[in-house]
Amino acid sequence: MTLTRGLVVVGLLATASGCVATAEYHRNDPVTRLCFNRGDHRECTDPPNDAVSLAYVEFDDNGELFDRNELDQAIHLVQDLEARTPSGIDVLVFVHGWKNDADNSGNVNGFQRFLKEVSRRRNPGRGPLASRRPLVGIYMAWRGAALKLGQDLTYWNRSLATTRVAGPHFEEALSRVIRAAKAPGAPAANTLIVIGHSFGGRILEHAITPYFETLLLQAGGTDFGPCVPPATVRPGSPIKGAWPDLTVLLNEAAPATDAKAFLETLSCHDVTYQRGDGVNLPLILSFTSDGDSATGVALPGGQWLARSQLRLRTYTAPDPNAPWEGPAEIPDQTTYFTHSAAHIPALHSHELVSQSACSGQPAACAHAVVFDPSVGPIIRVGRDLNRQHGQRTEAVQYQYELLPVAARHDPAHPAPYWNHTPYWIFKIPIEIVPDHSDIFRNEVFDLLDFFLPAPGTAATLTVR
Amino acid sequence: MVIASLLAVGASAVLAGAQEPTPGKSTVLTPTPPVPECNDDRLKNDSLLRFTGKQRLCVFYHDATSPSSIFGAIGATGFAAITSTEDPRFGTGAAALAPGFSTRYAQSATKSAGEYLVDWAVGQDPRASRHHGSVAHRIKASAASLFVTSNDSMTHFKPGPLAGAAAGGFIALAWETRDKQSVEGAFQHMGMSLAGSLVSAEFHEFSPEIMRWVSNRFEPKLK
Repeated sequence: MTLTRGLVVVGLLATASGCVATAEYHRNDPVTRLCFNRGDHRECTDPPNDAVSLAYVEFDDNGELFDRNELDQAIHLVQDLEARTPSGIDVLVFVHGWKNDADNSGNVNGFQRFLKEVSRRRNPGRGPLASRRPLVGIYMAWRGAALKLGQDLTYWNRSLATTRVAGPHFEEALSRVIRAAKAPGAPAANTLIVIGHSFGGRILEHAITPYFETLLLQAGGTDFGPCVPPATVRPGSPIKGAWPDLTVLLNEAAPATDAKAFLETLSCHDVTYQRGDGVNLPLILSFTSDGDSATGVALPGGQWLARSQLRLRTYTAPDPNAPWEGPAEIPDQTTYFTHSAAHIPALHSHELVSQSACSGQPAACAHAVVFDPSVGPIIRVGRDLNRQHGQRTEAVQYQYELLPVAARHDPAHPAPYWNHTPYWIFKIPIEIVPDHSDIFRNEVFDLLDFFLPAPGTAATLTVR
Repeated sequence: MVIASLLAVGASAVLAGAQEPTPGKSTVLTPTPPVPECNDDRLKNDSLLRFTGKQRLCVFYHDATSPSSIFGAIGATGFAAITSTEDPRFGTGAAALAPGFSTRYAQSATKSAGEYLVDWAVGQDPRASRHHGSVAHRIKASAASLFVTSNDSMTHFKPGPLAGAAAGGFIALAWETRDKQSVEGAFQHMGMSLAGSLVSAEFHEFSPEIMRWVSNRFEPKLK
C-alpha cells in the first residue's frame, strides 16, 4: 500500500514538473542570419551576406499566432531579399512534428543544418557567401512537445492539437508566405518548398488542402461541379494563382482520412500538373520511410484506440463509372482512419525502386528523366560521392527510379492503381531515411531537388 | 501629470511595436544564436572534433534515462518475478520489485558510466553509427565496433565498452551473496554484460530493417 502510494506521488510529481510551458521563444529574435560555422559570427557579418536567413513563426496551443510581428518580419525578410535579388531567392518552410517546438528541440538544430546543406547544393560553385543565391528558412512552430518525460503518452493530446493549430492563423501565415514568394510581382525564378514532418505534416495538409481547393474551384468557374466520367473529352482549364513549387509531407503522422477526400477531388476533376515537356509533377509529395515505426506501428495502435470516438462507415460496392470514389481494395473508412496514406499500398501512386549502383560513373548517377516507350517518363534519382561518416570517409553510391505503380506490373495482370492524381504517395527505402525522425539528410534533399523547377520555368496546373 | 506622461509613452511604445515593417527597407539581421550543446540533434550529428565534455555527459544522461534503459530493467525484473528466479533476499511478491529494478538499473548505469568515462579519457566517440554493405559485413562491423574504432588511415583499440562491461560486472558483486563474490563471478557478469552490448549493437545496426518488417505487418494488404 505504501509502495503504491509512493509510486502515485512520484508519478504525479514527475508529470507536473515535466510539463512544457506554452511559450513564445523567439519574440526578440524572430529573424536571424545563419552562420555556417557555429559560433563564428564574423562570416555572417563581415562582409554582410544573405546566404541563409532563418525566421520563426510561432503558434500557441490553440492555433493563435503568439505575435503577429514574427509573421510580418518573415514576410518582410522575403520581400526585402526579393527586392535586392532580381534573379530570385529560395524559400523553405518547415512545420515540425511531435515532441518538438521552437525552443531547444532537435528539429531546431536539424533544420539549421538542412538549410546550410540546401544552400551548398543550390550553389555548387561554393563561392563567397555574399555571391550565393539567398535562402530563407521559415520554421513554423507549435507546441509539439507537451511533456518533458513520458512524451509517448501525449499522442492523442498532440494529435488533437494539430487540428487546432491548422486553423485560420496558420492558413493566413501559409497564404502570406506563398503570395510573398510566388505571387505575380515576385521574381519568377523564386522557389518555394513547404515541408511538414510527422504531426507537422498533418497540420500542413489540413491548412494547404483548402488553399488548393479554392484555387481549383475558382478556375472551374460556374461550371465546376460534376466529376469527369472516364473517357470523357473535356477541355482543361489552366489554373492561375500562386502555390508552392513543392509541398512535402514527410513521414506524415495523419490518418489517411485526411488525404482521402482531397485525393477524390483531384481524381474527380482530373487535375494534372505538368512540366513544359509533358513530365508529370507532384502538387503534393507524401512519402514515408519503410523503417518509420512511429507511423507504421504506433499510429495504427493509437488510431485503433481512438476509433471509438466516431462512427466509421463501410463503402458501397465500387461503381466503375465513378472511379474517383476510392480504390476498390479499401471497403471501409476504418482502414483509412487507422493508417497513414503512405502505409496504404492501394493509395500509392509511385514506387521508388533501387537500381544497380552506377559505380565510378558520377554522371550515370545524376538526376535524370529517362523515357521508356512502354512506361513514359521515369524519374531517376541518384548520387555518387564520398561522404564523411564519423571519422571515416565512405563512398556513397545509389540510384533509384521513381516509377508510376502501373509501370511495375504485368499488363496481363494489372495491379490496382487508383492514384493517378498529382498527390503522389509512396514509400522510401531506409537508405534514404532510416526511421521516423532522422529526416534532415542529404539523401532527402537529393530527392526533393529533382522536383524543383529550373529557374524561370513553370509547370502548368490544369483542372477539367 | 506623471501618470498621464507614462501612459502616453507606454501607448506610443505599443503603437511602435505594432507597426508593420516598411517594405523596401533593408532588414539588419543579427547572427542566429548558437543552439545549446545538448540539443538532441547536435548530440547525434556534431563532429567528434568539436564534441565537448558537456556533450559527452549529455549523451550519457540521455542513454541512462532512455526508455530502453529503464524499460530494460523493468522487463528483466518482471521476467524474474514471473519465472520465480528473483534473488530471495529482495523479498517476495510486489515488495521484491523495487530492489530488483534498482539493482538492475544501477548495474546498467554503472556500465554506461564506465564506458563513457573511458571513451572520454581516450577521446573516442561514445555514439554508435550504422554501417554500409552486405548483411554479413554489417554484422561483423557492428560487433567489431565494440572493440575497435577506425578512421581513414588506421584502426584503433576501443577500450570503452570493455571497461563499461567490467565496471558493470564488478558492481554486480555488491549484491551477490558472499560465496559468489569472486573475480570469477565478476568476469561472468562482465561476459553477460558484453553479450548484452553485442545484442544492442546488432539491434541498433539493423533496427531500420526490423522496423520495416514490423511496420509491413500492420499495412492493409492489396487483394
